[in-house]
Amino acid sequence: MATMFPCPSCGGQLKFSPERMQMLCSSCGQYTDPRAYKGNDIENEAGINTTIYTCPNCAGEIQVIDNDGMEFCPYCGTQTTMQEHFSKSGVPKYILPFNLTKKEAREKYLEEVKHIHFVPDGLNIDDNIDKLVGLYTPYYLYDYSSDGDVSFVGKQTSTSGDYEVTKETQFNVRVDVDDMKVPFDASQTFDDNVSGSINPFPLNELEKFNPNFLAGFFVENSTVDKEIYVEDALEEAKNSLCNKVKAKADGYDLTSREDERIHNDVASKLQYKGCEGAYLPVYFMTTRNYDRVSYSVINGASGAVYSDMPIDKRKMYATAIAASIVIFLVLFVLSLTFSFTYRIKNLCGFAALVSSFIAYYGAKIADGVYRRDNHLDDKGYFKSKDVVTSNNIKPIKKKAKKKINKKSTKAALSGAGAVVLFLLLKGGYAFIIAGILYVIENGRVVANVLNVILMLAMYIFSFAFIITGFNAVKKGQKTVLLLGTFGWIAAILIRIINLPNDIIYYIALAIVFAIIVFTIDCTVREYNRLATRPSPQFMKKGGKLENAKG
Amino acid sequence: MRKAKYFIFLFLVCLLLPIRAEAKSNVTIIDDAYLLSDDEYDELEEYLDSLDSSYNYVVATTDESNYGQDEDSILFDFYTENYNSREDGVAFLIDMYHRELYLSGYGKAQYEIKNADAYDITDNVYRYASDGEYYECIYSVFEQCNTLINDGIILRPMRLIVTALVSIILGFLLVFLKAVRERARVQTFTPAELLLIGASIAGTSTVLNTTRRKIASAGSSYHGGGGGFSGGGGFSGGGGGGHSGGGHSF
Repeated sequence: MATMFPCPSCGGQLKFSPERMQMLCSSCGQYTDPRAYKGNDIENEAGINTTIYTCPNCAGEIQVIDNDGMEFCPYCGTQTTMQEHFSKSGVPKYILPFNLTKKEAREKYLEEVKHIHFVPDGLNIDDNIDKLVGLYTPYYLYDYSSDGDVSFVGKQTSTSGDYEVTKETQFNVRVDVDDMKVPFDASQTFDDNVSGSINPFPLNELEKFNPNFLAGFFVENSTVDKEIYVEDALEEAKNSLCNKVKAKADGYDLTSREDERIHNDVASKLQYKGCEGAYLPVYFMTTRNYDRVSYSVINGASGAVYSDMPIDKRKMYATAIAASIVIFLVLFVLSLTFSFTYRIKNLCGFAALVSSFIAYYGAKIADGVYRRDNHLDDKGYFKSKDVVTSNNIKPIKKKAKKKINKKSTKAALSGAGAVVLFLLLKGGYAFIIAGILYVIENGRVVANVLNVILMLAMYIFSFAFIITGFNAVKKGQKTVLLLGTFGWIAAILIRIINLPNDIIYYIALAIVFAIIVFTIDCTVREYNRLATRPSPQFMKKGGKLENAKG
Repeated sequence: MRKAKYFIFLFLVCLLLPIRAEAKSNVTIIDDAYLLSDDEYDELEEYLDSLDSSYNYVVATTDESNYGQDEDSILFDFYTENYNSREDGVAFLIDMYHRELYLSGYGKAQYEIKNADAYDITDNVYRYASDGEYYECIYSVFEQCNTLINDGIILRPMRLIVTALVSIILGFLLVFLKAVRERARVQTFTPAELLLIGASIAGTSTVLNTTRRKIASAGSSYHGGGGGFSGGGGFSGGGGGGHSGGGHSF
């Protein structure tokens, strides 16, 4: 088949090269400016001519403008002959060209995952990484404008010598924004948490759509209706603008009333201008894991990496055994050096705490698996707003990295200091000193009291873990939760029965500990389900970025 | 002459003191619960006599409730009835009422038989008491104490078993949590970056009000507290009269 991107010099096939941001001829090696190049009947008013490959296994579709065909499905990882048909497809308004070559993407991926232990053997071998597919993914850009003033009052407190100075300041912020574009992935393939993990894209490098940037890459057309993310985009726009407004009062504290006022003011001034489509670049790799798949995705512009990374149990257990031996030696030497021993009755508390923690942790993972397998955090999977509403699908929470709030830390330290100071000033020092003397004189009594407090804390925490676990599991598989709870109940029962014969005590506890190890094994299995996804099944209809024009 | 008589008298008193101390036995067996036969009593006494004579050895058994007292206090009372709590010694109690064994070290013995050692030793012997073999139980306790006093090594199978169990759980749990934590790095949700075109966000500010409040000074009171605390150092010196101890039910 004749190429749609013939080289002006030799007629060979041109492919876009991110290295030089030019089109490179695969025959003569000459570079051509993609912005000036006109190909053979690639694009007209009706759209661009593409070849669509459909996977016979998962019905996933991938578009190719001028490429060498597909031998495997990038969505379900099946090695198959993709069904091919030609299509005329609409085009989006923008495109963000690839900045990273496949080699660079591969290096970014390896750099990010090299510190991760217990990776399944097949995941990072060259043959698998070579399956990285350069793919343009559809995004919607929801556009807003704003014009107006926002006023609010902030307070700042500082100390000057022996005085505390409080300053009350009125801020007037002029907000004048012509366009504020909020991106949301319009792909059914990409789970929203995957696209969220490879953010941000450098949207300031967006270009007007030009099919020449597609040469050599694959394209996924959108099948998701643009109405799905309208409300989420508005929320994002409001929050972002509010933060920019509040940043003008850096160092000042705002009351919740002022905060709400800013939010309402900003919201009332935001104008929705419409929605536009864009292709954003990603490198995409699918690895099959029995009946499930794991995705690794690299942002083709910034290099941010997301990877579903199951745990190789064999490798993990080998390390766990080695770690146990080291811990055993360290604990035993420490127990001889510092002369401490364990009271077998306390071991029940420890077993109860560990069992309950694993039960809780397993419940959280099980809930995550259920949500992921049923796409409950992935609006895009459901394609239309009506289906999203009927399934009560919520946008995933944006867990931005927590910044250490210096003010609150300072406040907490001041609070603790104030408590100590209060005790010292109000005669509490006598109590503290008496306490210290009591510890010195009655070390055993205090040690026993501390032991009781510690044990009580263990049982109380373990109870809290179990309750929280049952609350957290929701519709997820309850295997780990129930096993952990069983271990927890057994540990508590053994303590209550208070067996006088240590041997029976140890046997009973050894059984509880065996249950704990088995529960950890089940937790790893559950985690591996969380780190993979069910093999996808697509029924692609609707959407299309070219329809996103307002 | 009167002075010489006075010195002779003092000299004789001084000579008598050590004679009285030597006369007092370092072994005391109080079998209030009648757990030992006469032969066992004699054999035990003979055995304890054969041990390091610079330590006191107290064996006590009781079958009374001793309401309100724990094993440590009961044994302390038994020991201090016969010796000063600062004197080096080892005491062992079989409390039939609470079915508890308790071992304590006094004087320098508390550093040779620490709490953990006392727990380990009673762990090692509680089965004798459970089976009614009280003589063997007591004999074994003092045998192990003697080993520790002479810098020997005793077996601690229970400590080994518990350490092994705890290590297995910690090893598996920590390695798993580490694996999950490592993976979270490549799965972190990052908010999308919004594209702003033709944006100008500029602010002006006007100070409305400034208030100043004097902070209460706490300097002098605080120093007073410091003085009180330093006094505690003298007290810690008096802590030497303590003892070690540990026990086990049977």
